[in-house]
Amino acid sequence: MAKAQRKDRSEVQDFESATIVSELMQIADYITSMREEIAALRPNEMSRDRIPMAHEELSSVLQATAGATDRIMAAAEALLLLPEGPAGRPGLDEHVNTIFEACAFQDITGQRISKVVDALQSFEKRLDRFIGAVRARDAISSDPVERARQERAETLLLNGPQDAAIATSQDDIDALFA
Amino acid sequence: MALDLSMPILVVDDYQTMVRIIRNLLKQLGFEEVDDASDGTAALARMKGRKYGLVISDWNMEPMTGYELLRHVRADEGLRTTPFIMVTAESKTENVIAAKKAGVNNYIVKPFNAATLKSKIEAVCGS
Repeated sequence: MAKAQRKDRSEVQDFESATIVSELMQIADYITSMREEIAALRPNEMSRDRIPMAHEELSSVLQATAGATDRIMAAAEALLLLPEGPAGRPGLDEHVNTIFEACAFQDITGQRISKVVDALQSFEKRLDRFIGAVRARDAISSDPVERARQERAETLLLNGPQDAAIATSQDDIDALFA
Repeated sequence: MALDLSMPILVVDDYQTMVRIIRNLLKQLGFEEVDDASDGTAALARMKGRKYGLVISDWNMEPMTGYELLRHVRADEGLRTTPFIMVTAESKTENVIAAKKAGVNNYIVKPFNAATLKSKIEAVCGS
């Protein structure tokens, strides 16, 4: 009787050991696969090169657009002060040329924005692959600053500019105030 | 429509370029008395010190938004009759309806042109 019980216990222990080993192997495989997926994300390249590049490019765009806007507005304001008639002609040419030159910012900023868009598309592809591989789900944000920002935006209706296709038109707004 | 071109106007926007654009457009329309503030808190402080014939305000500013400014103005016995135009990129219908409920006199979506600004000022302030 006791011998039979010992044999049963030993078989149960063998079965449990085999199960544990099998589960540990699955976990090891999962960790290996996860490491490969994280490596495929190339997170170091993102944080070391691509994200700082995007920051720098967007900062340059901001500076270029602000500078161009300032030059264009200054030229337009100067145009308003010109004397009428032939006396104002030289000044007119000068300020109009300034406006043309200032508009050249669009070429450079367009190229800078294209670089940022390329980087974002690359991140998107890598993240999509990672999300699919690990079946990631979003957790509720635990960052109090981010939560406060979201609550403020919701309470004060800070929706920001809308896509033209869904934005309320000025005509529709005017109808509300008619 | 006759406009009182001597009335002081307060432009509230945290983006100095937009303040400059609106100032120039108002100047073109003949308004000379234009003050500005960079958010609702600064605007309220200015409104306590001077009676304005019109407030033209952006929505999205910090710390006090234009929407909060509007509600403060409408809740203040001494300021509640001040004409108020919202000039904003907030173009969702819920924003327009909320502003209307809060007592805004008119609403302009950015980007806008001089003719739109002029027609709204005339609609709100014209006698």
